[in-house]
Amino acid sequence: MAAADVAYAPPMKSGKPGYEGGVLEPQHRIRITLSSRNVKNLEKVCGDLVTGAKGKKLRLKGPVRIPTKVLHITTRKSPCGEGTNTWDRFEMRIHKRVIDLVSTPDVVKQITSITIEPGVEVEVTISDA
Amino acid sequence: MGQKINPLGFRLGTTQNHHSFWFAQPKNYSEGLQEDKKIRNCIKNYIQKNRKKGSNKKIESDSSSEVITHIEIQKELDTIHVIIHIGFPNLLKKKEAIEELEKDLQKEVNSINQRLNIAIEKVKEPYRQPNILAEYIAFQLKNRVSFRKAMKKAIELTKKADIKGVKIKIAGRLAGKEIARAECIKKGRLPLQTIRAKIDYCCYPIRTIYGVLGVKIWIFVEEE
Repeated sequence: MAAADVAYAPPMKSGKPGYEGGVLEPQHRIRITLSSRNVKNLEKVCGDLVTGAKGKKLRLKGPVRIPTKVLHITTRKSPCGEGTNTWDRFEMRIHKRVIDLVSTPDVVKQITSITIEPGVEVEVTISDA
Repeated sequence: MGQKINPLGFRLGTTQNHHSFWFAQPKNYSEGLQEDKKIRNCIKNYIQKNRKKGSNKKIESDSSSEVITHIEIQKELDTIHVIIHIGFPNLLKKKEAIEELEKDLQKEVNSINQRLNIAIEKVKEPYRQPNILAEYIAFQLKNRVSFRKAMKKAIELTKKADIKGVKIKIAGRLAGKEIARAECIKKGRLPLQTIRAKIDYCCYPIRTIYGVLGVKIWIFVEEE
């Protein structure tokens, strides 16, 4: 019977900070929003953050890719009204990624301070959980 | 004939990089743009001021004065990195000049929470940059050299640098004539329709007593 119990027991996750021992540090739900116009740098920062969080063994919801916003500006090419009506179509693509973590704010500050790429905006919102 | 698109803008995604590399949400974008514009104007005014000061002391016999090729601006949370690419850095080698520039810029930008970080890079081959050639032509024209000679001298300068094609076009009241026209000199090849060709372009106005001459220079550096 004991053997059967052991076989059916669910596997235990080990090494989670804040769950074992007597002292519980308040864990917060932290949402990191990354926005950029440049996909390469954005994916690099995403990857760095994810590997940093996995190294510290935090509960992580992987990079959620929010649909890219394409901002359009359509203007006449001509400075006057003369000529065939040719139009310039300019666009700016904003890519956005969201990473959710559960951890203490200090750890998050460590992780976000390491990875800084030009052209990527990082926003961190902390909500108690 | 048709109109030609600016070759820098045409290649922005591929061979050409943006000079201002930062991100801001659409709400705050205009402020960032205005900051950028102020920084660039401030730097150009500073160099023009110092050029005038320098010319009071000695006659500017050589045209190797400082020419800014381009100014790169990268903004992060708390710092603004300004990288100035200069052809022949004379003035800005000294640290005092750089500190003066920093102070001027701080006044212009007047944001308390942002530090300015100015770096100055010397351009490797100055005669490959169209801005420097344009300044050279402007200098020659001010000294009343015939414009065709000025263009030919500029093209000779590019021969030393490794260049596959040049085109120089001057438009306006050439030699002070009443009727304006445009003159063009080409050398080598210049594939404007090929996007993977790296083409540098510059449009530079020259003020003469007869009016403004427009100089446009295309330089075909390399393919891919």
